[in-house]
Amino acid sequence: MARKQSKIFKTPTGETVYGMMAEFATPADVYHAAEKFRDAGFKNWDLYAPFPIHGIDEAMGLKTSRVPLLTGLIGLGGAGVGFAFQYWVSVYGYATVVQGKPLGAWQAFVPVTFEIGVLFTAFTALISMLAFNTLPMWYHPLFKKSRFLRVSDDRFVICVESRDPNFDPAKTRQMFESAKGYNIDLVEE
Amino acid sequence: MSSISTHAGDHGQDGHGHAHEAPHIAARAKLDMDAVTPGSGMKTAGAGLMFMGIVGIVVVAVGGFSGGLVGKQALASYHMGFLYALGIALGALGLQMILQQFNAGWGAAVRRTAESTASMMWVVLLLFLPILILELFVTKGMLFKWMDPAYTAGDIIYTKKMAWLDPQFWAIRAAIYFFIWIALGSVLYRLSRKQDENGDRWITAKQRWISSFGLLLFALSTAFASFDWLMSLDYHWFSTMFGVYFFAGSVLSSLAVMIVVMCSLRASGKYGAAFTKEHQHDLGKLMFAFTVFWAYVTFCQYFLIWYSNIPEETAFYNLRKDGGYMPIFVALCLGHFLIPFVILLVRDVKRNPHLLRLVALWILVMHAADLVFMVRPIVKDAKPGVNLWLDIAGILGPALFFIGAAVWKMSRGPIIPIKDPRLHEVLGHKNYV
Repeated sequence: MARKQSKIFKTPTGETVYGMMAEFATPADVYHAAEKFRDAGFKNWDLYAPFPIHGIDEAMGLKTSRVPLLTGLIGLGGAGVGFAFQYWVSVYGYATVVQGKPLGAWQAFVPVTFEIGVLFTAFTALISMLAFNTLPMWYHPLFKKSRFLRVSDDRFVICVESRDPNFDPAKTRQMFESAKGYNIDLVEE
Repeated sequence: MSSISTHAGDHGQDGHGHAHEAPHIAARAKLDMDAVTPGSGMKTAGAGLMFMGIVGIVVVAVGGFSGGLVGKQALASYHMGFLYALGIALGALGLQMILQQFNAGWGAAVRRTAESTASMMWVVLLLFLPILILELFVTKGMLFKWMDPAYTAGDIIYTKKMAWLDPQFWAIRAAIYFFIWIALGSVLYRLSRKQDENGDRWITAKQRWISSFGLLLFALSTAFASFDWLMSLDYHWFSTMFGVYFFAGSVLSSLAVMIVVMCSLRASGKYGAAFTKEHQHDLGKLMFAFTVFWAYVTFCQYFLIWYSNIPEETAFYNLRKDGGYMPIFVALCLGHFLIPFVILLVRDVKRNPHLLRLVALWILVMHAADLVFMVRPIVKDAKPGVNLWLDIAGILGPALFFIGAAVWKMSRGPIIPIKDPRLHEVLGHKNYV
């Protein structure tokens, strides 16, 4: 992963540090820890939990997703394209009188326009959600940590990346400790 | 919110079994009794609206007594206003029963508004009495032409429908509808007010039970009332979609009134944590849903008639097309659906009290246009726009009178159910999406 980095941290064994992780026992602990990292101005960090924690996006200081805007615009645009395509087919491309209706009868186009709008909306929502989440992701440094696997069961994990300007191994460890984090560990690239 | 137990329930197995609450629950607000007690301004506002309504009704009555075409049009104009008020009351009745049936936690915040509105159903009956008395005894078929034996003489379609379209049976049915609505509305309101005093949780169970069969009665009576009072205006015509069409418009207008009233109350410093932008957001979502639902139902009715092109069905739209109502048709497509649809898609609009109130007012105007499109074309002699003051007074009169009565009723007790067992969900309510 090539990325801009002001400082490169190394583990005692000489490997590049990806970041630092800590476990938390409860949603409340991880929630308050998230608030601390948010208030300290951290940008490149993430939180892992076995289930969605209500209000966690606010505690993490996450901005509103761009998925709805994109979905809305492309959905409406798709509906417009669907209508225009039917109109073009019925009036110019393959003009055929059906049931004695006018060629460009808008009424007949409405159901398909609606369906194409829904189709575009659904695909945009799914694909843009995956894209903004940088999914699919085949590798992540955290996968090497066996303790991280419990995040899909009963543990809550915060990982601060070393590329964050505020990252400092000693200070970040202190922050984790003061926020009830335990099993604090460096994560290798 | 079932997640509450999930959050607090993860102790024991990991040695971290200390009691704790999820943070957003710890930060839950308290009910501010001052903020849910109505101020004196609310009574004044209700009385003011009722006075404006009376002015409108008097204007229509003056038009009605002047006779001739103006008199005929006045009856139709008043009928639109009556249906407007009926729609608001019926929508409130249906909404509160739906909220009860689904055990909606957030909905307790908005239920009192609906309960107060629906409990004033007897005012709608008062508004209906002039139409009933005039049509049965005085004008005899000026509005409902099938009531006029001279008009229907030799009409084979009327003969086939005679069993249903009988003036006496029509009046009996009206009595049944109003009995159902008034009974449901006042019983649910009284139970809710009783709970304010004694906090009995079983009252909620009872309300839910009443709502179960209440919704069935409500759905059937609403549909048949719309057949009796709207569809039979053009008694040759029929549409199986009509009951749903009327229901969709009614609930939409009722939601819009609720949004206007509750956002205004909140702007004046009421509610506190009992009605925040979170609850408003949900009302906005419901209004969005019913905007789409109305459009779906309306288009389905139109689409099938347009496609099959059978003269007895297309009569409805031909009457409106030939009568010069196409501008209203276009305005409904754009203003009742497309514009509110796109605007209400935006999350920030639903969360902004001023913007949402503006959209709600716009929808109320479009709902009036919808009623004009349904009722007004039967007065064939008066083209659209003729005696516009009569139509405006006819709609605003009964509508404002009823809304004023509902606001006045709401000012007679706490503006939310203060001892509802779901109140803790109301106070902690939040939209995470």
